[in-house]
Amino acid sequence: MPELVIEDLSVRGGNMGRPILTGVSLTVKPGEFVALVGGSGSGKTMTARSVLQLLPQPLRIESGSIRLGSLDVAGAPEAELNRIRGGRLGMLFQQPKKMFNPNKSIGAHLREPLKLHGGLRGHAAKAKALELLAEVGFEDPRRGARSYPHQLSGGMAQRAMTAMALAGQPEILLADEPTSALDKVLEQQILELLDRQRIQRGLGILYITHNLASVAAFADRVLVMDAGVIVESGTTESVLGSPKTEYTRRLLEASNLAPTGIPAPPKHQRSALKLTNVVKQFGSGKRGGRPALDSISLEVQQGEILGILGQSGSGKSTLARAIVGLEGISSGSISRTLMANDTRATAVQLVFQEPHDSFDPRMTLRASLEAPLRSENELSAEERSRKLTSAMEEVELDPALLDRRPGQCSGGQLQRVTIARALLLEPEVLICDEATSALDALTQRTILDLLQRLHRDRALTLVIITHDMDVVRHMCQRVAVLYQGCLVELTDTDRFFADPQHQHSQALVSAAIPCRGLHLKKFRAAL
Amino acid sequence: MAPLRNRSAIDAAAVVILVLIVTAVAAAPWLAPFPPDDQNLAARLAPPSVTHWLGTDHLGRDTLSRLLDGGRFSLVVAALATVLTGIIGLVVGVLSARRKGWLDEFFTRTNDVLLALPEMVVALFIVAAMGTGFTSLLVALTVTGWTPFARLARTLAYDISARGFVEAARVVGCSPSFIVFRHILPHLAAPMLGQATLRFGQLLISVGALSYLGLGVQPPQSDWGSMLAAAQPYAERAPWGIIAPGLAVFLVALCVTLIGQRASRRASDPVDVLIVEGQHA
Repeated sequence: MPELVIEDLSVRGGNMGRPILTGVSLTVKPGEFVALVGGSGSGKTMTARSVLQLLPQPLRIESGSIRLGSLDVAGAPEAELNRIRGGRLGMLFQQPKKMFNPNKSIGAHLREPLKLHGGLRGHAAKAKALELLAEVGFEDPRRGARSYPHQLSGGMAQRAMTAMALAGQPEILLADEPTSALDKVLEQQILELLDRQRIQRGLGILYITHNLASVAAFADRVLVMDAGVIVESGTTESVLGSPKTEYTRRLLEASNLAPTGIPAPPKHQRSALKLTNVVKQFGSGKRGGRPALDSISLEVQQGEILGILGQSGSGKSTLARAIVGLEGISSGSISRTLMANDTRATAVQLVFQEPHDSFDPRMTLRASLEAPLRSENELSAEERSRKLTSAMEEVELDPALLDRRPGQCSGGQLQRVTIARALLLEPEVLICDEATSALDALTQRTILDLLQRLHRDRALTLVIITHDMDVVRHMCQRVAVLYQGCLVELTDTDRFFADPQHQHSQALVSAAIPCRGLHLKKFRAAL
Repeated sequence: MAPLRNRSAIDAAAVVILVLIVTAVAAAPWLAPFPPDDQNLAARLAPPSVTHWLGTDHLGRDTLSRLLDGGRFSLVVAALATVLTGIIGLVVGVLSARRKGWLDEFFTRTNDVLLALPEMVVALFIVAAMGTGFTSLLVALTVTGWTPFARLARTLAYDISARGFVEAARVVGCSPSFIVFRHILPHLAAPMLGQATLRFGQLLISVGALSYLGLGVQPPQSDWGSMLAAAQPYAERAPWGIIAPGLAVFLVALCVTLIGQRASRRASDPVDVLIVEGQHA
């Protein structure tokens, strides 16, 4: 099997644009698991897209060579490229569901590469598709092949994507953050699946991620990228064990969220939020669908940090939306027993997952932030402006950013602005719905630090909704676990990690521990 | 068809042609070489010449003069109908999307019914009931014409209402009217304008068609459709009588459609481009 060799690759945005990649060299040998790590905007994805010759419009390769075995990819004609894309060069994307055509079944998706790259048709293609689905872990491949993308969970969709990539019999697989949107259990399963392919078929894997912790267990070599330059490379042990650059150290530290041990508020505090038997059923109950929320009772105490854990589809977002009133509930009650008889509708605020989608792209941030203050009236223009400035300072941002539009800001900056917008309303409770999931590890760390400071300084009650065990352990005093719309466990964080009760919690906890730090690689070697 | 290499040159040409035609039509009383109703039976069905650039009709009236004069009626009716249908469609669409429930159901069903009826037949019916003339023509075109705008506005308003920033605005306590006027309408403006330019071309043709059938203006006032109708019996002897108004309708409709397509292409781009740039910044 051939190897993928990138030598001295430089990519620029347009003719006079700024450099995106500078002098990137890397090699992926057959049967090798190489990790490319870096913060968002460091150029990892652009490296992968250069290999496929799928750079977005203004970007072009300025110099350097990309070779797959004896084939010069950088100079190959389009027809040749079409043969290797999805064939010899497989790819996995961050959001598998968006990469499927919603009108075609998974089976139909699989038959396409089988026909194009394997020359299989009809029954042979169908049989091979089922075989592949079984291989990637579909328990019932027939049903899997019949299902449509929207019917799959995030984890299953990524498996189906993997099956599709494998259908082209790739020699090199480019995996661009294939697990960033998944929880730790699924992340580990997907990476194990890739690793098995590496061992069985000698597949070379270039695994792109921003989370160093997930690398430790699987990668043979690690390349660290910052601002389009590879700043450090070497074996996993040497890079993670004794990082040479400051950037790697920071990345490593950010990926390794240790418990901070924030003291819990004294017991028998007043509760800030009280949910009693909350049920939410989408559509009509007659069709017999499982309710999205199934009689949830929960109390959030004033001044605590409560973590709500759950996989995608477990109902955590629905719960958050119900609490802030974006979603009506079918039965039960949600009462806010807040300080000083605070009856404002805005006393509970929500921070969304996608920072870029939380702001109107046509409005300046100032206009977006001012809007709720206007409806409260009584404030002069200067007072509003002063409030905005101090809110921006509170989230450690330059107030000059206020006059930009969302498209001109990074995800981390925008997520801070979302928090600033919530703070302007002086909320009692701040709900963060996967607020850091779309951010890279470094940015995630700074946002979490900010939240902790706000919790301390403002006595803000935080509800952290996430699928990330590390975030929960790092931040929360108590944990609630949602599973298929039911609250299956509610306990202190320490006790939860030491002795999870429910079967689902046990699975979560056991997957979370090995993905932290270095020891798994050693652990694996010892086996 | 060979690929059109230079779209922007074509679009620029469309703008120039349209501006020229509209200016000429607006300045008809000063530009036209003859009064539109000036009959000269001696020069009936005369071919294009130095005196009559586009020839004359069966009553010896100058085709160019009548074309310029009649254009005013056609263009004004089409433009007014576009604006009216656009506004009605926008209001109905946004109301449907925001209020949902029975109101949405009512508008959507009405929409379906109107779509099922052939536009021309409904217009014929209305004109027959109300009598011919400027107002009834406008009403006839408006009654059936708002449906595509309403569909577009409803779909877009639905989509935008589900976007994160609208939900975020609701959470921070922005009023519904703020959400409609500051978030939804600005996002609707560009696609609606694009749709409007496309519709203008179609409406211009409809005005022509109704007038051709004798349901638009009444003689001696003329418009492009009625000119076509009047010239038809003499098509073999004096084809210029048909070619001139036909070409005018065709050119204006084509130019406006081209400009509209460009506008709606542009409208869908800039926001998303900004977001992509931001992620790599």
